[in-house]
Amino acid sequence: MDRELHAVLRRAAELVRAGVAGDPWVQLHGRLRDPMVVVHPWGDAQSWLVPVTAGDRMVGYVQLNPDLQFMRYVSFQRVRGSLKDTPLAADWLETERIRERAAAFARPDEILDEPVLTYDRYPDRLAWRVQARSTDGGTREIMVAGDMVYEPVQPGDVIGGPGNQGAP
Amino acid sequence: MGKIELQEARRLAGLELNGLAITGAIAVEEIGGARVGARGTTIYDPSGEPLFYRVPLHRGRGRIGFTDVAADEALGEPLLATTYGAAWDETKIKREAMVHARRLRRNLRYTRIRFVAYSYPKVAVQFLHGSEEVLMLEWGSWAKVPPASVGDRHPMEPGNFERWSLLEEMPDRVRRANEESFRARVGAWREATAVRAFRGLDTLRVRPDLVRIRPEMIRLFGSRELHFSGDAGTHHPCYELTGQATSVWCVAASTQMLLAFWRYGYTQDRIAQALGLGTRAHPSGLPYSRVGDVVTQIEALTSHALDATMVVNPGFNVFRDEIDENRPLISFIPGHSRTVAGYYYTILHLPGQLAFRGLLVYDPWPPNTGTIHRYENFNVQTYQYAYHAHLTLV
Repeated sequence: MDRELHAVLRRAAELVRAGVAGDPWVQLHGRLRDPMVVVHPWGDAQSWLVPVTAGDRMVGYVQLNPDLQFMRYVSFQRVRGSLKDTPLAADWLETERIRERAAAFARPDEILDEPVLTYDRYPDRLAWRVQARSTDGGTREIMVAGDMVYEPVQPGDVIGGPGNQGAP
Repeated sequence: MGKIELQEARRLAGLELNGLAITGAIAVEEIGGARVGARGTTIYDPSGEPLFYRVPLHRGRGRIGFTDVAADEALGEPLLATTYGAAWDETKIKREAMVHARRLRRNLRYTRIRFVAYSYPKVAVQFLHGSEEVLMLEWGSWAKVPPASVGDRHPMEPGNFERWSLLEEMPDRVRRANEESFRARVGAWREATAVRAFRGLDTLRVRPDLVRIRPEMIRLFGSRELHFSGDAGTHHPCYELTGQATSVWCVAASTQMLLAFWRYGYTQDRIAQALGLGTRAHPSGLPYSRVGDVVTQIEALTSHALDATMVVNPGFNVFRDEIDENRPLISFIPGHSRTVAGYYYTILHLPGQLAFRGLLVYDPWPPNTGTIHRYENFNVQTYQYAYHAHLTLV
């Protein structure tokens, strides 16, 4: 791991240890995984995401801005100390799994690029973007957020998005 | 101009030193058992105003160092510096200064001696005849401090060995900000020590036992989550996360969470219908032109049992006050909606560090599952609208 990733991981660990991110259960049982870059739709780095897992489950993640300022700790645990209903870590962290989900949504003639960790229109809506290329030269984006796979629409003057999504 | 009396300064010094030990900024081995001395030396600004107090630190019968505590709110924080190893003995220093003064001027006549921060924080000994200065010697080097020059320089940018007044050169804007910061710090200590266990405690001593039992003794942060009722002592946190059913129904899911807290068990589809957000097959978000609909529908869906309010650009206190009243909020940030069910903020933090303020956010994103943000840094988010509701009582 390079020096920058080490610094990100160290900062996230400090925040968890200090109790600013997570809770005592996360301090005890959570495992910090390798930091990942979240990019803006135009490709620049938007933030650092440090996943927290317990066994094969995704417990949450620490999000830092590029200056390593703490943005938030996001928990998938509905109840403190419980892993019930938490997603599989692979669903959020393994690009092959993300790609498979996108492939199930894609048309037979579409070829998929590598998934990119980004967000759906607004930075708080974390999702993977998979570019799909059809044989006629057309492209479209497929978004994967956990078990939800959909085609995004352009931002409008709307909270949540203008709609027209496909069924999940 | 806010002045601090010596007794209050000593009290603040004791609290600050205990705070530094508690937060680990200074080692307990170094400061543990130290006691803030009963007497302090007033160090004046060249303008003649008291600037800070230099107070000896004792351990047992020995002096282990000294601490400088603000006498003027313009300094921004109560505790200015703490020095170990070098003892502060006012009488001895004055005697030494007199010897050096006689060497410079055999016939020096003066009526009193005081200490002056001639170039803060550098200290000098000032000899006065009545109210007139007759000599000023820098402490330690015993060099004669020249009179203030009327040089052509920017304020607060003195030369290497120059007499200048911190209080007179400080820009008004900085002074006001510092005074505000000082009062906030004193207020934080008032809040931190308001617990019953603090009453009658001798905080002039840095206590290793106080450090050990810190959570019970000092409130380092303020925090609250929604409970079943306002009685947080006997009830568990009481709030449930709901994921948004489509990728654009964050407002519907947020409204569902708020209504569920008040025991209104509407489905997300029903709320989406009321808010005009379409169906699962053809959903849409809420246009900004209709943000007021959230208020209308919360009231309509509860037959006006809930009285809802929308706040534009809400500050942290809006969230804190509502949570303190045991009521959840809906929070709109650019393009997205979530709910807020708690808060956390630091009361005590080290001088120079930013205070942390965070919200406990129940976010319907990602769809179907949702997430809980414990915590979202309030300082790095944009809060556009907040909605809260209270029960209409008869």
